[in-house]
Amino acid sequence: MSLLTTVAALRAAETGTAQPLTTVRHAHIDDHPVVLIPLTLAGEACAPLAAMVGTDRDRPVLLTVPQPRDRTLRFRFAEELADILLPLIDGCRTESETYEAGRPKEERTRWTRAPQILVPNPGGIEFIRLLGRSTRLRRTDGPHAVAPTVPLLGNWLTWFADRTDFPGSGLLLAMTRLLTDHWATGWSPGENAHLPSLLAWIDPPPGRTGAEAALLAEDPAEHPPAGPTTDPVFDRTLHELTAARDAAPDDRARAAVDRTIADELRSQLAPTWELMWRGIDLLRALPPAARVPGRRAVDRTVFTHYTTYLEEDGRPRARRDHAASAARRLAQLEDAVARYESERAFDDPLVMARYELTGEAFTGTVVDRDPDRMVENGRAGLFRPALTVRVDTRPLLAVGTTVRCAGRDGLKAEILDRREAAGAGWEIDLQLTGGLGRVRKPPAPEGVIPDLGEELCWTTLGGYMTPAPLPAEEDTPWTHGGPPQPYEPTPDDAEESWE
Amino acid sequence: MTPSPEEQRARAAELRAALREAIRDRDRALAARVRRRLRAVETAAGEGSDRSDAGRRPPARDQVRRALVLLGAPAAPKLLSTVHRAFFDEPIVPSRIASLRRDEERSFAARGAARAPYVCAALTHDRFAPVRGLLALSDWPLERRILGPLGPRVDHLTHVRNLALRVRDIRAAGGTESPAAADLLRRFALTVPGSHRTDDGPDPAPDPDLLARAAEAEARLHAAVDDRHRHTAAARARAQLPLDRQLFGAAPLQVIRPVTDLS
Amino acid sequence: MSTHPSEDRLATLRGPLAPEPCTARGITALTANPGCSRRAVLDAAGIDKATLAARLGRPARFGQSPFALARGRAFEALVKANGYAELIALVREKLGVPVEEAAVADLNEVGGSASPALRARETGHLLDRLAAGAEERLLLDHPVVPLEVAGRTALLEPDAVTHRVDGRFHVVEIKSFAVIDGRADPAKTAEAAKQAAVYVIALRRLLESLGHDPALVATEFLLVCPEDFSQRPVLARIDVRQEIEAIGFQLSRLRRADDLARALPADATLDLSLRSDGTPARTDAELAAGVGALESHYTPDCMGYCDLARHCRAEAVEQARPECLGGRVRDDLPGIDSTRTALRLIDTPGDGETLDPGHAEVVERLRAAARLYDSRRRPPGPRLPTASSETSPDAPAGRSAG
Repeated sequence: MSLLTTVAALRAAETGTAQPLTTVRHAHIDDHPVVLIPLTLAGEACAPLAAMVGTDRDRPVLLTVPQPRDRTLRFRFAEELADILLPLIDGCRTESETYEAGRPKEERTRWTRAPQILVPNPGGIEFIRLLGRSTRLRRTDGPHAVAPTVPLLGNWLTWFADRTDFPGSGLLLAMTRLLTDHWATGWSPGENAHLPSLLAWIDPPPGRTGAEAALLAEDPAEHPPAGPTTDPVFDRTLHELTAARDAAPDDRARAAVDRTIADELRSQLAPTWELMWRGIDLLRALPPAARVPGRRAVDRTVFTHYTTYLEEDGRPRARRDHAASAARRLAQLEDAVARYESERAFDDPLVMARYELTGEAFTGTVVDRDPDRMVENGRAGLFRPALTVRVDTRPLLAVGTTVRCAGRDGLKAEILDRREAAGAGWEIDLQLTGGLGRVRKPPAPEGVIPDLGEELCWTTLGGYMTPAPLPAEEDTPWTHGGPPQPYEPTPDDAEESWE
Repeated sequence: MTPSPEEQRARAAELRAALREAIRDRDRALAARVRRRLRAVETAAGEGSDRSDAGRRPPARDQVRRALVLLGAPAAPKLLSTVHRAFFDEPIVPSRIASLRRDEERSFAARGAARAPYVCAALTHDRFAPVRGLLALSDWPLERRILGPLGPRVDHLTHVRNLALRVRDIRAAGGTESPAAADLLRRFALTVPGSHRTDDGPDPAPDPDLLARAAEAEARLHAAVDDRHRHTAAARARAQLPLDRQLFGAAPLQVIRPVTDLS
Repeated sequence: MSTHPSEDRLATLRGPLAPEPCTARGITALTANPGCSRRAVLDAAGIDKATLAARLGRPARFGQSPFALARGRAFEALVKANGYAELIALVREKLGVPVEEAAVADLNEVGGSASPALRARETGHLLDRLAAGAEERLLLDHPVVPLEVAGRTALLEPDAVTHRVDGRFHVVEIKSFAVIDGRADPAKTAEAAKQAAVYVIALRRLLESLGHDPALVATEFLLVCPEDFSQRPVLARIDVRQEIEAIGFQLSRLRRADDLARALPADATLDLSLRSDGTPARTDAELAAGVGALESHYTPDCMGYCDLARHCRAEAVEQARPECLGGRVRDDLPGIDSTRTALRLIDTPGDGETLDPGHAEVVERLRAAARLYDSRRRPPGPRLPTASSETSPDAPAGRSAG
């Protein structure tokens, strides 16, 4: 985080209007995202209560568990969810494309689409993680058998939850995080976790400031919580209805209560459904950042790997990761974090400004250039065109530092000198050391060397011009580090339902 | 004109929302009014029906007695219900157990020992108060119905042994215990040391004979102290209490000075 | 009468209503925001904060779900069922308690009565005898332990106390949040630890008052939770020395509530009582004035546990306090007590001559950040029409800065 975010938050608080934190959208928003809003039963580790799910704004599908303590009904929910999600996931596997990867380079194939699930908040991601954990190890035979789609759904949900930890991945995303990555409100992070208020800040109804609208959006009667935790006062309604269901004398009476329960749950979910799509609209209205398609290609590649893994092996992930695979995953995560931060800065001057503030980047106007400069080096000499740029703020980077140009992919330079300019500001001398193609002497290719008067940003941030290194096929997540612990039926499965 | 079912359901949903608002505003009077209206609408719509089908079920009293005879020591309603389901095919409705002891006490007052054995109370060893939640049989000697500090554990071991022996007998007769009975035995085996054949952890299908012997072995460890408690207390109770109090427990202690209750 | 004089002041504030019972959870909430005088006085006086918040027009937005309550009760009942069979098995397996140890004491009732006072007396007798070695008990079920909190005696009720673990008393807390693959929710575990620490303090003080060594109460407690998605209990032993110290300190500070209350205007009131006709004895405005006279220390975290938080937040927003924007923004504005001041300093170069050097540096950095922010943000203008999402890998290259 940065002081720039603080400034944005101060302005938001002052004006009552959310302030942008980016100039572009850094996340992929799919043409057909799966919106999933789960609700769980309070007090339980992972007892699904309801979900609203679908890819069509006008046709949400409502799943309900009229008695969440009933194990059978819980697994029926998992089955219904599988019946919706699995075909959508499968639908991404219609067209493939080839790409080059590996060392030595080889041609590989991947699907042209990957699924994207959008949930309201990090709690929704946690729900997916837990539902995955509680379904992927189920047996499809024996006394507590479940439908074969249930453990498959568990594998997929576990995979989505695992991938969402990687910044830049667009497979499973939480709407509140997406929005707070792109806008600052005048409220605290904890309050921004409430989707209705957050959207009210960013896109208030006509005639209200974001601050006013956000306060109104806290009313749980108008804006039920976006889950997975339900409003405790609503739970009283539900508690009475589930009690009535338990007391129902026959199937007809029970079905009537079930309908009422479904109506009530729909009333809790429908407002959030609408908010999710408004959030999608707002994000789509932002122009996508340049590197978004590249990151999406990574998503499609890992998606392809995982579909292959499920077909060829398909064993579920163990309860706990092995030490070796946990360490490897951590290293991959660290790489993904650094890469994502850097890519965002290169794509977005407002993000790059954070690095300008800390001195890791500077923006300057070219005031002098020597496009044909050669440096003595043995017989041939080195082609090192030079630039002088003028900057407004005191340069913090030392002579000898290598910097990359944010506007020109691949252009690299070394700082030769820095000095206070006559008049105002400072001047920095740069010699170009990379990005000139294979040219070894002047002239440089057309348009590579910046012109006089051009304003460019230079930074020490990592280049990451190549696509992210991908795990080899055999390293498909959690298959490495030894075979997964096979499912062991524990006697507790029998006790999972309420007695 | 009578409202359509859809209209009634919509009306009920509105009232539920209004009830929630009243609860949020902590307006109890309004909440009570809305709740009454909601009940009326629900009843009209046939929701929340409380039609009872008590007539078809056997009396809870017989079910409880049967489970108690099998268990052989005072037991809580939940265990009685589980045991009845596991060994006699159907659970006992908990709400019907709740009122049973008071009904039995009234019946005893009216008709004396005529309808014995009664479902009665287990007693605390110090004040002879009815032990919270436990039921016993009136034809058991007081020693069996009085619980000292070791009483809950010893009674549990008695339950475990008797249920294990019953399963053993079922198998000896060529039958198979119900899944619920197997479940109960497996859970109980986790609570008694020495009930597993190996040290590899819990046995998914414990040996009933081994389990019975393990329960007896632990019970023997407690027997000397526990028996002394029971006998001393029973002797005192016989000397101090009339017969009905011996069965249903001494009246609760009275609180002389009112104190603030914990919520 | 031997009533503490300060209790008089607090009782006057409260009016005719009985004080709200003091629970372990309420006591731990004090440690979450120790700087809040408002909460300290409200709790010391036993004011019903939820009702107060509703009267002030900003009712609390949380409460306990009946499902969560039922689940908590059901799990505790399961752990204690069948003569505490599960609990005994746990302490035997995990803590090496010998099989001979199986004596228990059910303190939910004394002689058929559930009166907390009776149960507290019985608990005291029993603890005295246990500490002296005159009796043996492995488990005490729901003992009731007194604790002096700001001049009032709270009667606290741990789920259970074991005695025969390493010769010490151990508080047992039975919680229904799950331990999944060996991990539990850290926030819930921390809350359980704080509650346990309150019980440890209460038990230690009780033993001390009975003339025993308070160190007989262990500084660890036993946390019992369901495992994974099942109902099977697992046990963890958790050290709470830090929590004991923190809460002990807060309890000693609570006595300060007397001084705070005494400093209030003589006519200040927090009286929530109703007249016989059902109308409030005091107007909402009077209550607001009473609350307003108590200094609050709002942070956004308060929204998670304090019934009054929405009222305090409104005040804090009114005063543009930096805390409203979260801890990070507040930390970025050291020594600046209002976001309006911060913005004025940022947007009025030359202002701030009166600042001390440390302050000036903060403002200088903020100004630099604001300059960058304003020059790099996307120009205001109409929103772009909804664009279909990007699929082409050769989307436009990144723009240059500026």
